[in-house]
Amino acid sequence: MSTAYQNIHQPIIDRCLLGERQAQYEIYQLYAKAMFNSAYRITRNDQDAEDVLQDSFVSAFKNLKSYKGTAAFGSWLKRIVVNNAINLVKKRRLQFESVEDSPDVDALTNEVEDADMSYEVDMVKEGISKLPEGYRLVITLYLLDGFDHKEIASVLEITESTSKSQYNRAKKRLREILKNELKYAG
Amino acid sequence: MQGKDNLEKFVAENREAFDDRMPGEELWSSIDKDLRTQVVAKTAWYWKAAVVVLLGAVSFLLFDKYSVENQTLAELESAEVSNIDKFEDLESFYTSIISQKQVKLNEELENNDEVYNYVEADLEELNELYSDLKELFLESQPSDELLDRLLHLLRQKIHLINSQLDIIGTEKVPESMKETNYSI
Repeated sequence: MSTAYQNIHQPIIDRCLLGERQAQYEIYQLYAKAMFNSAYRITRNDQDAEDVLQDSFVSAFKNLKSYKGTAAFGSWLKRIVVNNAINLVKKRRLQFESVEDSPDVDALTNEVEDADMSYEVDMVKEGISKLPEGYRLVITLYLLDGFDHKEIASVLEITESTSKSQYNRAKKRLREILKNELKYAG
Repeated sequence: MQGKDNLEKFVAENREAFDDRMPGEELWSSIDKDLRTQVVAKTAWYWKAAVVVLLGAVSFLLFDKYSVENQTLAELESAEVSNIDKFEDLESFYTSIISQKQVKLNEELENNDEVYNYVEADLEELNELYSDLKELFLESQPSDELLDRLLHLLRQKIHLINSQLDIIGTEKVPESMKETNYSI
């Protein structure tokens, strides 16, 4: 198997390809926590996140041959997890605001940007959790899962520009929440 | 791309702290169970395939054996059919001889009632035996042995009629010749 991306876990992945159970468990141990947090940020529910993780790991091991090594294994696996989680929450009918609704969104975002504002993890997490679902998904996928706007557009089935505008709006709204609702001034 | 703002920098620097949740302890066993179920399902598929192949092989062998048996049976039947054909040919051959000879005998016996009655009784007895044997031969046992016996009976009929014709012929021979014949 030719590997374009030199994955540090490739030896374990190769053993997984042979169906070795111990290797599958090692991969699970390496990635379960990060994948579970990604799934949870989308589903907002432990049980849903576990269901997503179960389906995703089973699917990943089953289709491991389709991992061509062109990206990090973690990125490949996360794409599976995020897709499964998105499919689950799609049942809740995600609503994304269109870019046309607020043409001056980027300008507004810049207005709220303040250089003297500092953050704490728990506050930011709480602020994110208070965001509307569309904002929350875009900002977590971008900031925490490392997706670029092209990938976000793909998994959420929106345009890349919508992803960008949603992200800017989300950041603005988050700062407002931190300042006003959570009385967080940094 | 624009430079990172404070929020982005903060998240990037504290990325690990955002992943503070852990999946339940039992999650791996559920995944493992699912994976093994698939393996079992795959194994079951192989078993099914193996069973199908085995059944196919057994069917083929049975069919093959049956074909061989059928072939043997067909050969036997063919032999039996040929026996019947042979019998029918020979029967018509002998029957035509017998008919000719009977016509001749009838002509000869018109003037000799005693002899006729005697021959007629023998021929009837032979005919009864012959028709029973013929029925057996045609209905259930077209064997070589029965064929031989049937043909033998037909020849006996001919022999009987011939003998009778000989006797009548002898009686017609002048007295002088009779003596000569006897002396022979």
